[in-house]
Parts: sequence; structure tokens; C-alpha cells
Amino acid sequence: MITFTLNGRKTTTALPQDMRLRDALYAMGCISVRDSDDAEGFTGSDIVIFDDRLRSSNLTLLYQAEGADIRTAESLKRGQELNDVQRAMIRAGVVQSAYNSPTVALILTWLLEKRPNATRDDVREVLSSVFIRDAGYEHFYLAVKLVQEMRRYGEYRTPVSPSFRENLEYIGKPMDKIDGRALVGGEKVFVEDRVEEGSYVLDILRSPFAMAYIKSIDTSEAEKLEGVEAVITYLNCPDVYYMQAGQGNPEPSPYDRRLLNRKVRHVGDRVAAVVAVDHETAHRAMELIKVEYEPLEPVFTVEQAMAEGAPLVHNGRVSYVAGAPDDLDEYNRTADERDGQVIYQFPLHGDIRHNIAAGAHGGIGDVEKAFKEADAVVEATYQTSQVQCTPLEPHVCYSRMENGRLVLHCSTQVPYHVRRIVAKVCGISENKVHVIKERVGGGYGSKQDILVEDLCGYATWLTGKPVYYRNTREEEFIANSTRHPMRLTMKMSGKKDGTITGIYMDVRANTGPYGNHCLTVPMNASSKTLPLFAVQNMYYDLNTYYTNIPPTGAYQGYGAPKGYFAIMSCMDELAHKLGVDSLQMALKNVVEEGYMLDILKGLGEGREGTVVPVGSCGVKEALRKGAEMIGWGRKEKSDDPDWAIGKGFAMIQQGSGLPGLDQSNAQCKLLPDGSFVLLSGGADIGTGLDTISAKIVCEIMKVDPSKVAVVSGDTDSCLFDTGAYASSGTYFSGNASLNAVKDLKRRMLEEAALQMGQKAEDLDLEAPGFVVSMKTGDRLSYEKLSHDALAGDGRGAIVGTRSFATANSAIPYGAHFAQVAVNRRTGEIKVQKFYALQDAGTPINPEMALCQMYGAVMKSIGHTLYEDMVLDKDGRCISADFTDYGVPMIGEAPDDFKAVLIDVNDQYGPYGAKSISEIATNGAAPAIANAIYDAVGARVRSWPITPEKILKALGKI
Amino acid sequence: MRQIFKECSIKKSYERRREVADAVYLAGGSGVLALKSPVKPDCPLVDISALVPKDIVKKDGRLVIGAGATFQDVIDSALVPSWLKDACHLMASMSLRMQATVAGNVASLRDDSYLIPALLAGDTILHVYGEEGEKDVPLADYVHRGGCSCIILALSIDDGCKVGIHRIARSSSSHSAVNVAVGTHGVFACVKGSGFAFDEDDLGKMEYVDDIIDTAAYKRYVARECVDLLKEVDG
Ligand SMILES: Cc1cc2nc3c(=O)[nH]c(=O)nc-3n(C[C@H](O)[C@H](O)[C@H](O)COP(=O)(O)OP(=O)(O)OC[C@H]3O[C@@H](n4cnc5c(N)ncnc54)[C@H](O)[C@@H]3O)c2cc1C
Ligand code: FES
Repeated sequence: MITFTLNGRKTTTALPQDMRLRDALYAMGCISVRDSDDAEGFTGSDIVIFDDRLRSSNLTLLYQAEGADIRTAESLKRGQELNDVQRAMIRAGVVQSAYNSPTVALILTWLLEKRPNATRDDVREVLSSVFIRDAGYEHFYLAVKLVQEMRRYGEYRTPVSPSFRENLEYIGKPMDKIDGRALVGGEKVFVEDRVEEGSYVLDILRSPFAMAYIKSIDTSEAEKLEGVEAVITYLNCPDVYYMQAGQGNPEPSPYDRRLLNRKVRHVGDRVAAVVAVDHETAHRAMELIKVEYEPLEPVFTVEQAMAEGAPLVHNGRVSYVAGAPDDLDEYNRTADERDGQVIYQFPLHGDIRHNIAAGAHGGIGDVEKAFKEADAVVEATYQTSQVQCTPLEPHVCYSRMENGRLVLHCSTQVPYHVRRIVAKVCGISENKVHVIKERVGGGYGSKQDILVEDLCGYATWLTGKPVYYRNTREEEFIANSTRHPMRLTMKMSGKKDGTITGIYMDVRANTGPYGNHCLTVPMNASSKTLPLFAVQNMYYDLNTYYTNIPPTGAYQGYGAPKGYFAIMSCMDELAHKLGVDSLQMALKNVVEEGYMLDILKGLGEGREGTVVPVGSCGVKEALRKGAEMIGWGRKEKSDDPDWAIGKGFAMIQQGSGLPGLDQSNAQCKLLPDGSFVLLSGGADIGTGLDTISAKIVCEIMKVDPSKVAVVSGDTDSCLFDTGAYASSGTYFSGNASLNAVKDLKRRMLEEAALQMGQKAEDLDLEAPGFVVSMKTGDRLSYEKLSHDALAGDGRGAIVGTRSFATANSAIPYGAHFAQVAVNRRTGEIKVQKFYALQDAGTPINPEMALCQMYGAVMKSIGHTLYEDMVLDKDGRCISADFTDYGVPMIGEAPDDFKAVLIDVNDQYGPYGAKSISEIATNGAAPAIANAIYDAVGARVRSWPITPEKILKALGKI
Repeated sequence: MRQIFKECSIKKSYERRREVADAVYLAGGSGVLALKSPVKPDCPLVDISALVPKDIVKKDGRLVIGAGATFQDVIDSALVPSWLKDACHLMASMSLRMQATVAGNVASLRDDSYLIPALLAGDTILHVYGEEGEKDVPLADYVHRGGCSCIILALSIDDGCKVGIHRIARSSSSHSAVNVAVGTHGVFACVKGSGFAFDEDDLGKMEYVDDIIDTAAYKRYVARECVDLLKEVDG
């Protein structure tokens, strides 16, 4: 028995004394104590206050708690009431995916107990222990300041963001996130909190080889083991081909896998799945599985995959659902049946017999002529690396049966695609599958890919048992989607006056073992960059190669961060070669509102794109303002001669969803007492999408947020939505909510007209919840309106339902500026200043938008300078934890860090809004690379830009 | 179930560890209990955390730090010179600093050690309990020998000397490629993959190796550069 004080109460537990304190506390109901790193001691999601000191509960055994005084975030709330730190965190906009938000609230509460006047340095010190991937660190300083103001003056005095749109009450104004209280309060909101006692576990035996055929696999001993429910291998899994990319149907990615395959294609690929009563049993079972492999020579790089006679990652039979070429039979003559199949929904210009998963090319004008006639041409190759999303909550799924239906509790960005794929894999209709999107503890793109739900769902369907699956952190590195490494060869030409005359991009992407997003991510490197340039001659070639690296997929920014690294670095090189200022070059060659985007024709996602003019566009303002803020053109001198200071920038754009492909639906109901429930198909992944929907209801219905509830991402209760990817949330799901609420308003006015004996066109809505006649002044409360509609003689429930689909684009623009200091002798780099300026149209949640910008910039500073998935010669990831992989912590945050929203109103977005966060990952790499060149003259063209590479470029080593 | 021993004295703890195969001491636990610990998850533990002294005092003109003092205790103490506080700050995470002990760091003898180069430059003498009872051992000897089964009880440091430190790591929380300390008592360093250097000569002759983060060439170059930088600062 171990006895200690837990949150002020003496507690005794009989749990094993050698159990990790983290696991014990969670089991004892302190669910705010999370584990993000399997006891690496890095991320701090498991920190508790232990005898008045911060301590990692994962690095503590239960027996050590004997006699201790332990506090967890559960101590912060008084009844339903959040404490002032929790409230300030919500107000500051930092409660986003929030997996560790309660813990951070605990740490800051503790800090403010010790130091009520805590300074920025104090906050920096305590946050040194927590990894925050979503919101960056900047607004945590603000949250502490807000607490101090509230305690001193009884009110918050510092604005958390600017406000937009004077004429609107909720849109464009900071407002507490509607799920903020549950998230920061440590409620049971994540998948792991749904797992019931007695559930089974799923564990996966993974391939030790980068490529091999499974010659034989014998699971008989494992199956006999007491407590083992099922062992699934390629021999007994459904013979169903699909892909895990979580894209709209029909997908622009090949169906090149089954649940388990006879050929394994990366170290960590699935070999067998064991369903058992607990992990111990599952692990023992895995040891009993006898596998004989026939190892094959792997390929890891684009160059290796391209080589003549290279080993083939996929050599199965190819087929097409539509558009098959005539010579397909001939093409399939050399197919090896052990490789399975590759099914294209439509042609993606793939050629798997040369390791090409997809290809595309297109452009405008005549680039060759432009290059010939130019005053200067620059040609250079840029290499981006494989980058991990590292969400604090790993990929998880809990599945169970209920009344013959499969219920999946998911941490996903695409509930409806999960439903479709799981139904397909299980061979059942979609009505048999119920997906509940829980709160998502970080996704950043990787939870668009359906990486665990397929197998977990099938395991339950097969066994009838409730099954819980959770990736270990190592599995997150070896079997989760990552940024596609890319080799981008750029050619850019210009005239002495700074006019860019031609741009050519040769994109060679590495999709790894499977073709998730194999066309669209690399496409993005061109389709989100070239349309920013008002250049007459532009062309791109793109080929994506299969290799045997760990899987790739979607990551915030998609292909754009890679494309921008290449194109904006290249533009800087061209400017230097021509002797013109690169900022002037950008201003001279950037598009503006109304510019006809001919380039879009060749940039559709595997289909012909539509040519449209540039819509609302704040890029020039962002460039000018950013230049002014950073003192562009002014050379900064360092006090220390070893350190040189330089400046760089990048102009950027992204998209808002996929016009022509995406669709969102929403429904808004008037409840009997006059309050509202909005049902959104959209998946809020922590970014505040539900709050956008709530604000729309408040704005139109003229009620305060306490009268609105939002239910989202539940496939049973909500209508279809393609999902939260490609920056679609605000534009698509937000517009669907807007349309549904407008529809509800129309229906409410129609019903009120009948009840009030007036014409609908004479009626309007009035705060705090009335229909009012503009003619007579008569008023009808929402409550009476709804009650009478629902009465025995009423006309039925008042509900608004609408969808949103469009061919119009709402493109966000921006410019990022960096100032760096580089040590000429050691190559050390410090980002001194970073200014991110973005036009997000009307930022509906401005404070959350700022935090997303900070978070996205931190992620991109990460891939620019630190993060690196290193594979050994056999393809094993040898940097499969946070420390070795190198994510940026608060110590890496720029000293002077500002996010600025450029005020532009968009024509198509809901209330003029465009997307905000993906674009914010595009600027750091080129801005920092250009700044490093400005500082010391070292041009580093590959990620991560390390001190070593700088010294090499300087010829020092 | 893992075996855990909590003895009533240092002596008994020392004996227990010798008697139980594979047993290790447990102090802060930030090394032993972490995912990548060289200590296996079922390895028996001899918990000495309540037995080793934690106080930080001045004695006979030197600074004496109890083995159980944490990195944060050192930072918070008014008696500690700034260079040693800076060395403790190399452990970027405050919660780890509140958990990890100074002696635990020394005994770990890591080639990316936060403290060993600085402590060597501070002419540190370890007060240990071993086979022959309590005794003093220069840290340099302890490191040279690759540690031992003794329990470190305290560290005695020349806090009057001048020391400069420079750690090269990709980020604040990454392991270091090199960690160099230069001071009145000489030049000391640890180099990832290679171990410790006790003077400039060692640093020159050391066999540098490529690792997942840095190449041997870079480490060799930057170690040399750090020494020069620190010497310049020192005048
Ligand atoms: C994410 C992470 C990153 C880290 N990075 C680094 C790094 O870059 N550099 C670095 O130096 N360390 C690093 N560490 C390791 C570790 O935190 C420190 O070395 C720490 O100082 C160990 O102290 P402790 O008290 O926690 O030791 P423990 O974990 O309790 O013990 C560590 C070792 O020291 C021995 N020991 C402890 N106390 C004594 C004593 N009094 N006498 C004799 N032997 C003793 C133990 O037997 C054990 O072998 C890292 C740890 C984590 C979790
Ligand atoms: S210090 Fe332990 S034997 Fe010498």
C-alpha cells in the first residue's frame, strides 16, 4: 500500500509499487496526467507538482510517492469553476489541441503561487519542460500577464488580439473557445479516456527489413496462447485494396495496400496484428510468431529509385477504375503476384515498374526562350527532409461493437473518410459504422491519414471485442505519415530591372512505401508557389517515387513549405546575381488582385484546373509592413565580431480547401427553449472550428454563446464533410455552418410570420432572442416560437440544413521575415527576430489565429534548423524519439516573435474569412536560409540547415 | 515485480548493491527511469535518494555540494559561482533540473555530460563511500577509471577559480556534440561518441566519430574552436 496526499486529500493505493507514477495517477482518475513520450522525459505532458517541485511522473515510480504531496491539474478547478490561469489560457487562445493544456495550467499556477509577479523569463523557465507543438509559446506569456492583470485590476487590460469588422459582434473578435473549458479543465475528451475496463489491446509485429517478401508466417503457437483473441496476417486479412491517405473519393492516390501485405516495404511495416487481453500477452504472442523473410535490396532516395534497374517497391498488377491505358496487359506481364496490386482510381501518370507512383507536368509560356533571353539565370537544387508531425497525442483508436454496429472513437481529421475506409475494409455498409471524432490532441496533417483506424476497426469487427490501439512514440516515427522528402531543381531567369522572366521547377518527391498523397503533396510544391508569381513563362515537372523509407503523407503546409524553400531561395539567388534587392524583386513580380492565373490550368489535382483571377490579396501589404518592421535594407552590427547578423524573407500563399472537390454540410436546430444546437460535419482538430460555427450562430441569431452548443465530427449525428485538411475548415465547414444558420433564420422567420400573422419579409431577429416586426414592433421570443412549432398542433421542428461546395478559391497570402545571428566560427544559428504577416481574410477567431501562426512558425523553424529523421543503411529510423529527432522547444523560439494579421476582406469566405494556419509553415525555411546567406554568405540548400552545413559552405570544414 | 531496496544507511545500500546482481543506485531517477536508460526496466534498484546529503555549503575555502542536490538546487543557491549555475542550465528542462541530481549526472559518465567538463575545470574532488569506507577521490580519477560502485556523497569544488563553458548542440534539448570547459585548472571536454578530454592534447588526439547528428570532422573542428573562443574570452 502506498499512501500520499493527492490534490489535498490523503490517498492510499494498492497499485504495484514499481508502476510508473504517471500510469498510477491516470488509473486513479487524474486523467490530466498524460503521456506523450513513453517516459522519455522530454515532452512534459506528465509533469506533476511533487512536494512543491515540478517532476516528471513518468520518471517516478509509485513507491517514491509514499508520504509525498502531489498535485495534478485536477486540483485547479473548484467544482465547475476553472481557476484564473485556466481562464486566461483560454482567453489568450493557447488552448488548441490541448493534450497538455491542463498540465501547463498546473505549472503556471504553481509559478504564480511562487512568484505572483512572474516575468517573461520566469515563464520561459517553467515552460522549458513542456513541448508545445500547436500554439507555439508566445501567447503563454500573455496568459500569465492576463492573470496578473485580473488579480491586480479585476480585469484583463492587454488586448489578446486586434479586432476586425466593427459591424459584427462576434466574428473577428476574441471570444473564449467553446470547448476550451473541457480541454484546459482536463475533462475526459480524448480517445484514451473512452477506453473501458476489460478492453482488448492491439499490438503490431513490425518488419525488421526495409523490403522483403514474407516467405512463411506461422502464428499457430501465438494463437494458442491464453488471452490471445486473434492474430491477423496477410494470409487471413480481407483481400481488399485501399489507401490510407484519407482523401476525397475517388482519391488521387493509388490503392496499393491491404491491411497486411505479403511484401513488407519499410522497417516498421505491418507483419502481423495481435488482439489480446493485455500488452504483456500480445508481446509474448508476437515472440511466438515465426516469420521467414526473403529480404530484398531496398531503395531509400529518389536517386536510387530512379536508377536504371532499381529494385521495385511495387511490382504488382496495375489496374485503373477509369482511364486505363491500352497496353495495360502488356504492362502487367512482368507483375509479381507476391506484390499484390496497385489500383489507380484514374490515371496519375504513375509507372510503378520504374518506381514512379505519380507524375504531372504543365505550365505557361516558353521557359526555354525566357532562359535564353534573360540577363541572368540561376539553376540550383534544393533538398527537403523527412519531417515528423509529432502530435503530443499519438495515433490512437478505440473500437467496440454496439448493437451489431462498429463504433470507432477516433482522433482523426476525416471522420467520414474513416467511416468509408473502415466499412470497405470490413466489407460492410457505411450504416454499420459509427465514427466519433473525439478531441484531437494534435494532428497537423498526420491524422488525415487513416493509419490505425483501419486495423483497429477490423480487429473489433473480426473478434467482436472492444479493442484499443495506441502507437508508441517510436511507432509514430517509423509507421506514421511524414513530410515527403523532396529534391527540387529550380531554374529562374530575370532581367536587370528585376523582372523575373521564367521559372522552371523539377520536383522529385519521395513517397516511401505507399502512395499516400503521392500526387497532391508534390503538386502543392508547384501549385501553391507558382500562382504567386506574375511571370509569363513557368513550367513544372513532377515525379513521385516509391522507396523504402518510413511512410509519408500529409503535414501542415502539405507540399508548399518545400516548394517555398526552393522558389524563394532561388529568387534570392537570382536577385543577388542580378544585383537587385530581393524585396523589390518580390514586389515587382508578385500577383495582385485581379491578375489572371493562367498557370492554374495545369495545376489541378490530377484533373484540369480552372483559370480564375486573384481574389482578395494582402501579400504586398504584408511585404511592405514586414520590411518596415524588420528594418529591411539596414545592416545590423553585432557587438561580438564572431556573430554576424542577416535578414531574409519569403512571400507565401496557400489555399482554403479544395474548390471543386470538397464539400461540407451543417445543420442548425432551434431547441424548444429557444437555444441552438449546430451539427457540423467539420472536424475541429483543436483549431477552433467549432467556435467559428458557434460565432456564426451567435452573429445571425443575435444570441450569446451560452445559448449555442456545437456537435461536430460525429458521423451518426452530423452530415457529411470531406474533413479538416487542405486548410478547408473555415472556408468549407464554416461556410456550410453559415448557410445552415441562414437557412434556419429563413425558416424561423417563415414560422414566425405564421405565428405572428405578419409577412416574413417584415420580420427580423433581435437580441437577446426575439423575432421582431419592423412594421408593428411586435416581438416573439425564440422560446415561444419554437414551443408553438413543436406543440400538438404545431408545424414541426425548425431546422436549417445546408451544404457548401464551390468552384471559387479564397487564397490566403502573407510574408515572413527573419533576422538571424550566425556564429562565423562555430556555425551556431540563433533566430533573433521572426515576423509573420498574413492575410487570412477576416480572422474569425483572431487570438486563436495568432496562436496558430506562432505554432506553425515554430514547426517550420523546426524543420528548417533542427528536425531530422535519420535512417541507417538498412532503413531503420535511428532518431525515433524527441531528443534525437530534435523538435524545437521554448529555447528555440525567436527572441522577438510577432504574428500580424493583415486586414483583407475576402469575397467568398464566410464573413470574408480565409484559411490561416497551413500557410504559416511556408515562410520560415526560405526566410531563414536567405537570412543566413545575408549574414555570412553561406547558401545552404538542404534541410535541416545545421551549423555543420554552414561551416562547410564557408569552406571551414 | 521490480526489486526495490530502501536501506537505512549508506553502508547498507552499498552492500546491497554489491550483493544484488545488476542492481543500480537510484537518486533523482531522471536517468535510470527514462526510456533510453542503459538500465533495463526490470533491473533492481537501490534507492539512495533519502540517504545522500543535499545541502550546499562552504567548507575549508571550497564549495561542497551534497550528492543529492539537484541541478535546480545548485542554481538556486547563493553560494554557487555563476559558471557552475550556467553548467546546470545546460539541462534546459526545469522539471528535469528539479529531479536530476548532480552526483547522478557525474555517475552517469555520459559523453554528452552537462556537468563533468565544468566540474573537472573546477578541480572537483568527490567524497565517496566504498569498499574502504569514506574517502576523497579527484573527479578526474573517477572519470578516467570509468566510475565504480562507490556511492558519491558530496562534491568539493574550487569555487574561486575561473571557468568558461561552451556546449555545442543542435537545440536546447538535444544532446551535445561537444561540451567544453576552460579555466584556471585547464581544458576539459566531453565529445559525443568519443568520451572525455582532460587537456588540449587529449582533444587533439581524440578519435572523433560520426553520429546521427554530426560528423567527426565537425566535432573535431568545433571542439578546437570552442577552446579558442573560451581562451579569448578569458584573455
Ligand atoms: C530527455 C532527457 C535528456 C537527457 N539528456 C542528457 C544530456 O544531454 N546530458 C546528460 O548529462 N544527461 C542527460 N540526461 C540524463 C540525466 O537526466 C542526468 O544525467 C541526471 O543528472 C541524472 O541524475 P539523477 O539524479 O536523475 O540520476 P539517476 O537517474 O537516479 O541515476 C543515474 C545514474 O547515476 C547513478 N547514481 C545516482 N546517484 C549516485 C550517487 N550518489 N553515487 C553513485 N552513483 C549514483 C545511478 O546508479 C545511475 O547509474 C537526460 C535525461 C533525460 C530524461
Ligand atoms: S571512487 Fe570508487 S573505488 Fe575509487
